[in-house]
Amino acid sequence: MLGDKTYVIEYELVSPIAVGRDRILPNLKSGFSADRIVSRVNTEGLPFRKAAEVRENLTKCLDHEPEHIKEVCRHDRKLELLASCFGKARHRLGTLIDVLEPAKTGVIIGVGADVTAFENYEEELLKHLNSGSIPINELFTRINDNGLKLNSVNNPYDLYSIYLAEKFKAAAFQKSVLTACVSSTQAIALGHDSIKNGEAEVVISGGTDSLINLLAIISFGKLGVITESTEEKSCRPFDLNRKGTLAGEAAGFVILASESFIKEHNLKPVAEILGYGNTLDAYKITAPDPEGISMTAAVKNAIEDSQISPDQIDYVLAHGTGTRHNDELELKALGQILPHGTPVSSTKDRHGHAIAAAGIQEFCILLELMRDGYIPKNLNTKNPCQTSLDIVREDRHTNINYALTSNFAFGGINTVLAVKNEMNEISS
Amino acid sequence: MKTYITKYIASYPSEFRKFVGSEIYGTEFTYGMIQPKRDSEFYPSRSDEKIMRSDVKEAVVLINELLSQSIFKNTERTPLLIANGAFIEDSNKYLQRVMKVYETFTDELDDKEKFHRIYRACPPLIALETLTNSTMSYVAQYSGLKYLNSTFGNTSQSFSLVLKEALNALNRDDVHRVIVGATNCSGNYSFLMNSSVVGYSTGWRESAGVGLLEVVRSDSIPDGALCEIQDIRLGLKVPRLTEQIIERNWNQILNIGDSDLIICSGAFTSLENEKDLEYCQSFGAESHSLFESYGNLGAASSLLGIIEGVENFKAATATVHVVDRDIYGRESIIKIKKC
Repeated sequence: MLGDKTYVIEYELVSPIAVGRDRILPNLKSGFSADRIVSRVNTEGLPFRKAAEVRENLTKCLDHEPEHIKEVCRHDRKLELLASCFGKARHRLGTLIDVLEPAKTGVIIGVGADVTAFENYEEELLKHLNSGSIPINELFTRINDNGLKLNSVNNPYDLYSIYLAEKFKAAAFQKSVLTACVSSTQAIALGHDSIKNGEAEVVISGGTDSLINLLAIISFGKLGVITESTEEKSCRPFDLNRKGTLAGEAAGFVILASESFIKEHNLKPVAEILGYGNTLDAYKITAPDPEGISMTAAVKNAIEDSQISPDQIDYVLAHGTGTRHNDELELKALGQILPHGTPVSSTKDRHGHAIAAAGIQEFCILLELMRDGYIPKNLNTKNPCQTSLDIVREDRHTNINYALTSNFAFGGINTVLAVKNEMNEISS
Repeated sequence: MKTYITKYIASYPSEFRKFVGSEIYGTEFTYGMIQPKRDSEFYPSRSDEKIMRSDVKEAVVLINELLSQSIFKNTERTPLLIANGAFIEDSNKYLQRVMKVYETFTDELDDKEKFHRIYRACPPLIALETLTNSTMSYVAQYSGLKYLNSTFGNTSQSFSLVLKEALNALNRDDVHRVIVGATNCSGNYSFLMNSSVVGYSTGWRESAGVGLLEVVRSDSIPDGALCEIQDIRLGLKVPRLTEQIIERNWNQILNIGDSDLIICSGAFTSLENEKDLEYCQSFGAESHSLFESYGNLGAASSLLGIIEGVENFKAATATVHVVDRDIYGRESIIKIKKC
């Protein structure tokens, strides 16, 4: 139905802060942070040795998968995280999946750049290096020549949306959004559009990404965005002494449904996607626009698109990467649109930056915060930046009726979502 | 509301070379490369050029040429939607220095020293070189397009999704035109990715390609629109990963209806291309593909197919169908009609 509202009816997350959504709040409330020396990759001798990893063994979450999918998951961390996320939710989704109409159900997944974990194949690389052949070509061909139709390394980015589409029988479309740190935020925004435009009545939107491999950590480290491991706290969003972000990984999804679908199936919505702002800096790929013009426009557009007023916003779960540029500009952009004292916090100090999965990770966290009426403090902020906003420094219990969640990407992409709580009675 | 294509621009490969895929497995492929217009006034700066793929450099030149021909001057409220193929042109070249380091490894070397050497060898801007939105962000940087945006990838179906998204954007009150683009860099990374999904066959051909379209809605249409976009449809097949069945036969989108020309894509070899053409001819229309000229154009296939269709309009009411099946066998169809 054209003009239909978009509701969130389900969500799930696998992240360093919570393998399963039920762990989000307990871990936030206990002040847990996944900021540790990386365990999966030997980073000895590197200046960047810390990251936020999903440390839990995910084998159990993959029990439902056939052996060949498990085999691909052993090579492809992004698929492993996404499949585990589905595994966590699948029992409670069974009834819902049964009522989905394939032609009216779509999937949109944000995916990060493909960085092969060469450290896992060192022995084989050395063998090819000495044979006179082209080592990467030989390595990829050999690993993928495993009798499977699926690649184990070097997968087409569509693999992830197709994976979920098969689980949800989602035949209307499978889209892969490739816009770095806003990929999964855009996946939610585009899912909202698909429902509004009548393209689908249900959309599974989400993302998956991992920065935890040698080349990825090095490349982001060399870009100057990851904090060196000499710092006790890797990520200090909105702190004057912030030094960079914390590499992370995550996968998650939300199920968006039209108003008519939830009425027809008598479902209780969790939240409503009110609208979004989505702009480009058109400045420099290597740095954000120092004036933050497009960033501000994204915040403004999100509020206007939602037909609410800035003073209705109870909370902003910010991108807050802990990098010099992002946090300064983000506060500036939010501060130009939102009233004095609007509470803002970032949870990246606890779970790191999951790049293409950052948006979905934080969106799932926001849904839990709304459900509980809880605003978490910025865990590592000691000397907050100057701003008219309220950089939250103590945990709070308060209703969150309307919230924004923002993400900003390398290359100057700014995406902000506006969300309305549907779990509690709206308080005045 | 109707939607029209008012401008188009594209670059095609001009140099074709044969490359070895794997010596051990005896695979090889022909790769058609784009030569970016270095003498263009719109060619990117030297500092940016260093971290751009050839298709991205060309996209920067093309967007400026396209915008300079357009009657629309507002870039602030013009959405930019891009379909992108693989993001690494030549993984061997880009990881050459890292591979050289592996050559120096000996059994005596401890991990600390190994990682230190890899760290030193890693290009400083490697994260930006492999950025999945680099085409979109550079096109924006060099053109001033600032509004709604997204990049979809990376199979050939992504352009149809982008065009559909453009039509959705044109439903908004504040959007009068959208720039849609598609770029495919091809190369060894793309070959390795695609050939192991589809299954390698001799005669494998892939090419780089770049194209951009200006798409405008009916109430904003200036004189001289090239064609109307009448329909975009996606097949309803979901590839079955859990059963390892990746069926690539044409079988989903029937009822093409009246068509003067069908332009198809999806083949990686001449044999596949012949079968594609045979299938399209069964609808009773003249059928054509860009394969014989360029090979598989990946994410740029359907956009360049539209341009081929526009350039081959014959009758006053010519209707062209651009059909594609991606490496997972997902079909898409775009119907355009001469204005």
